[in-house]
Amino acid sequence: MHLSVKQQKEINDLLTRENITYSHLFDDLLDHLCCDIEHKMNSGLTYANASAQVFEAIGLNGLKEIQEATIFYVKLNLLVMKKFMNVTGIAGGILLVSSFLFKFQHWPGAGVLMTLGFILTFLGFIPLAFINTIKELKLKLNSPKFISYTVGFLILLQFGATFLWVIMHWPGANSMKLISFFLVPCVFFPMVFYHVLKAKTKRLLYFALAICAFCFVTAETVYNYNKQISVNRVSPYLDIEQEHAYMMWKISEVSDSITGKSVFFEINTKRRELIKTINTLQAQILKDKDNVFTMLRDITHTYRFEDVHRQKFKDIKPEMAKYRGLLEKEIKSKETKQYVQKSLSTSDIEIEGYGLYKWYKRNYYEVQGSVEMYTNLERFKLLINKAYFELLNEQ
Amino acid sequence: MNKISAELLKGSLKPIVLKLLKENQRMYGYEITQKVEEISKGKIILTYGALYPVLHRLEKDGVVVTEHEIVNNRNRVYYKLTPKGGKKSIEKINEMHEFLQTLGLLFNLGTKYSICT
Repeated sequence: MHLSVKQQKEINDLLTRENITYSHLFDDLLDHLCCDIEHKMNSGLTYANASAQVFEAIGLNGLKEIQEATIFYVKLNLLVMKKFMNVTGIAGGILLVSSFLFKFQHWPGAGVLMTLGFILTFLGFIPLAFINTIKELKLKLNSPKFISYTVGFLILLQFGATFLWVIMHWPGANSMKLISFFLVPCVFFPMVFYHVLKAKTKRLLYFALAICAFCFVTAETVYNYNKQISVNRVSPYLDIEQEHAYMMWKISEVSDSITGKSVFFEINTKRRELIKTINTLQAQILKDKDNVFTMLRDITHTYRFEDVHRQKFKDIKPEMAKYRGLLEKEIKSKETKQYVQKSLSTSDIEIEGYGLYKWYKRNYYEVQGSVEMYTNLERFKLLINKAYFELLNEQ
Repeated sequence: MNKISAELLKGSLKPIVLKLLKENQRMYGYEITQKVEEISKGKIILTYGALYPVLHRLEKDGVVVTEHEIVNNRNRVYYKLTPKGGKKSIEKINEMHEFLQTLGLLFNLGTKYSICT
């Protein structure tokens, strides 16, 4: 017994109403349902009873559930990969961002975080995102879109590799940087924006990739900029240190040729004491720099570094005045005397609009433990020794 | 006559479908369910929700191909093994044989239930 055209159309319409559109599932189900009903009708049931039994067995929403189960099972691998891609993307992103924070703040563990973040993002998320995009868009291997996606993906990988090369200071980092800084803004971003403008769906994915790349470019630029700033901060200190070392050598040279004058012994002792005090202060700056709770102490005013600085220079002030006095007494040349008076002056300065600028502040820098503060103190030591050298040179 | 539970059947569906397709040149969905019910004497009844995901997945993996024919005023979809599918089906059937023999040992079923190849 076969179903009539009208009866078959009824089942056809039901499948259409239930929106069975995946692949050829419509034909599969139509044929199977009809065969099932026909089989039951051959056992003596009417069409109405037979179809009622068949649909009762399938259940309410059963047809939609069959379609969902089919789609799910067919796409199972893709879904698993998608989940994995999401997890690696989020985890990798969090790790990388935290590693940047740790690096800028000089907290321990930045390297580990960066390595893990890099592995998860560039060896996990980016390749999976690429595969996922190719599969979802069903791109053919020789289509222009596939080629542009592959190029984009390779540029991203190259960018990630550049990042790693720079951080690890491996050879070839500079040439990789040049390649990256050309490819990313001139090839990658234009391609991305072209696709985004043309895309009807998956804009979020493209934006996510673009933001990802933008963040890395920014992070690397900022890191290099910071590095340059560090170099700029340290080089004045190194210049002064060099000059100071030369000065000390000159002093020792000239000192050897002068014998007998006891006043030089007194001046030299005073000089040594001053240098020692400043060395102690520099050591304290370095020690405090490592103290994580310094900022907290500063806020709660239980211990302010400026107070320490002020106190130390309060001790230095009379010693400095004595040292200057001794030098002025022995120095004969007017110009040298003026130089010594100016360079070793301990008086506070009246600044228009500011008020009285205290002497101890001349060597004090707001950021405690900073290279600038250390540099200022090093310059101070140099001036002390230079004044002594001028005296020795006159003899 | 108790039906075999879906839990036990889950991993066996693919090998069952592949074996049937190997023995018959081509089959359509309803025919597969009827054959399974007949051979198993009603103990295994493949539901729509169990059969079609497996068939479509096999098609996606390139193990089967489909042929369409108009039968009784409707489009009938026949499933047929590809050459790759032929190799895969032998592989899965052998795997199933080994599994059943191992189960036989575990459940002390002895030679009564050993498989004749």
